[in-house]
Amino acid sequence: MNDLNNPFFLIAGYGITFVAVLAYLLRVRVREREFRVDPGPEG
Amino acid sequence: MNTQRVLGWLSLALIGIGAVVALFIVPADGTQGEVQRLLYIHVPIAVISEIAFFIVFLMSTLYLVQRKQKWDLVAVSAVEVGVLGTALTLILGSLWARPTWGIWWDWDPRLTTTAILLVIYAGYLIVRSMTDDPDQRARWAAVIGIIGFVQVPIVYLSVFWWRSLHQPPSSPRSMASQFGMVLMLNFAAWAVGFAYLVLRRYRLARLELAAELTGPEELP
Repeated sequence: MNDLNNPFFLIAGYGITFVAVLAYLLRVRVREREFRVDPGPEG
Repeated sequence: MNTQRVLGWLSLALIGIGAVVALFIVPADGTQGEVQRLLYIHVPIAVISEIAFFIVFLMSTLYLVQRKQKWDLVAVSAVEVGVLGTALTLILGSLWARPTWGIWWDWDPRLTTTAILLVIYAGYLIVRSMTDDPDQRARWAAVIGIIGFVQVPIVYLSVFWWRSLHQPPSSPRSMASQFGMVLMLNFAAWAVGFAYLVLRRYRLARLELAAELTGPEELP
């Protein structure tokens, strides 16, 4: 197969991009959750 | 529904539509074949990352003039998203270059200046971690945010200054209208997506600063 039409490059490119962006978003959300203050019994 | 949530869902919808159109609807390029579809995200992400660094330049200048922490927090949020985008630009470019040029990497001026851009803003993040004083951190970062921006026009102009392997900038004017439309659609989608990421990161940066100022004993 001609490399120009090899699906590996498209799958890798779009795959890495989406995974990287989602991983970054997840990291931000997890960090945000760590800062959420528990109001406790008096809150 | 708040603005952030709307922006999040809008990003997901636009990026999804953009990817479907780029991968399955628009025909493959006659010369570059299927791999050309990578350019529909490579180009928008590259441009939006440079816009993110322009925002860093503006926010850094505002910080040095007004000394308000919020400008520093917007700047660091834009840097993180810009660094992510620049790293993806290099990866996508490399994946496109292998079948097209026959190589994964070349010390071509555009590639080299983009790699230097990534190093500069990664350095920005490293320098921030070197001090616990929020004012000193913001001041150091602002100086790098302003001086580092010099690299952005160098990256843009590199393909004109040194005619080399990388082609001149791709834009809707330099391609057939149907390809240009898909490029614009993906540009809009990733612009909204990156704006959403900056907004989320800014909200986190505010929480981090608030926790830092109140001290560790106040942390949950």
